[in-house]
Amino acid sequence: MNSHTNGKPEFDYIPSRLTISQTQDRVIAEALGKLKKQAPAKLVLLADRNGQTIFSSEDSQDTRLVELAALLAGDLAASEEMARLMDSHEEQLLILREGQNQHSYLARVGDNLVLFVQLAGEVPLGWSRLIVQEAVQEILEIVPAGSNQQVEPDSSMNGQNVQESVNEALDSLWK
Amino acid sequence: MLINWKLRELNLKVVYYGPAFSGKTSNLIYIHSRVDPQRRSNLVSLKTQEDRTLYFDFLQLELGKINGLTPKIHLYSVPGQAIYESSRRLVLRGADGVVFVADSSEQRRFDNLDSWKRMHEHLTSFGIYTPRFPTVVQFNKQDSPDALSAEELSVELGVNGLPKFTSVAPEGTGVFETLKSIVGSVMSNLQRDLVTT
Ligand SMILES: Nc1nc2c(ncn2[C@@H]2O[C@H](COP(=O)(O)OP(=O)(O)OP(=O)(O)O)[C@@H](O)[C@H]2O)c(=O)[nH]1
Ligand SMILES: [Mg+2]
Repeated sequence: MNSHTNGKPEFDYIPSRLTISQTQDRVIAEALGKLKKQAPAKLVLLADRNGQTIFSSEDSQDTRLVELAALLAGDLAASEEMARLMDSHEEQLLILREGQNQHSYLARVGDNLVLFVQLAGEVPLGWSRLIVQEAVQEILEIVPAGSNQQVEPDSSMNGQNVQESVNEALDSLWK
Repeated sequence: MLINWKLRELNLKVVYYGPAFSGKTSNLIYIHSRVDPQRRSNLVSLKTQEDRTLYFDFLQLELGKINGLTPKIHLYSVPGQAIYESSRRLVLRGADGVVFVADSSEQRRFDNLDSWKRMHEHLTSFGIYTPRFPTVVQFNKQDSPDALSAEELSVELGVNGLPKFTSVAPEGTGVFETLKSIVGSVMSNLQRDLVTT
């Protein structure tokens, strides 16, 4: 806990923020690990609406998956916007891409998240759709739709000149 | 913004916004070309055949730890052409900070103003109180023959209180300074919040 009560709190604008606690992280990993086995799926990826990865069944440091998550979020945002333009917005949105060797689902998970599941072509569509829908419900229980404003106080960023640290951190990225 | 306390990761979204052809993509191209490949993603560009941004450009940078948290900065650029208004709004949504890339050419003064106003309308519609929102202004294309000065442009856009940089993006002039400033603003904003909540 931090104990910073000195001075008047200054409430700057804080954009929508999603915080994943250690417990949520673990429960999500369990639920999606189960989905991957049951389906079985080649890849399961959960990201927030900005394409920031929360869970990935493969190495989430892999930049290919970082790029994938950004594109998935853009894809869902475009699909939703199309639905809105056509007056057909729905809470549930499941997009299926059906191919010969594989297919994939892109699902809206409440207002904050997007789930991507890629499966081999042999996996029956009816079955996979069912368990993807179940997984969506399960995640919504772990990360309720309205949980995007919670802030966990943390003292890790206290008393430091942030701009200086950022400058240093960015300088060291530069070739 | 996404904070994962288990991984101690901080994901931030910074959007480059501005009128068509002002040099938003050029900023990202230059950053991509100069950052250590181990610390960045590829540059994803959804663009037209003429190389105009169609939906967005995306690039992730991974910074070294800052007080125990690893910041991952997601950079996006919006499409500037008029017909892409809806897409522009979608890309802006969820931003933790914006870089407004203006075109310094005198001929583009109204386009800058129009884009600036629209950006604020969108941000406001997301429930954002814009005077406190991390915003950095870049006056790009300073090498145009009819480029206005930073002073003239600041008055025109009414951005005197904000961090401002002049630039020639394809050459890299001003690009890195702009990036440092916006990431610094976003992180400072976050720090204030974490400390006062
Ligand atoms: N001379 C000069 N040319 C520039 C500068 N910045 C960008 N350009 C050029 O202007 C053109 C448009 O640049 P982009 O970076 O694609 O512009 P944009 O803002 O992404 O354009 P949209 O995606 O259509 O909104 C390209 O040909 C760039 O090389 C600059 O500072 N000086
Ligand atoms: Mg562009």
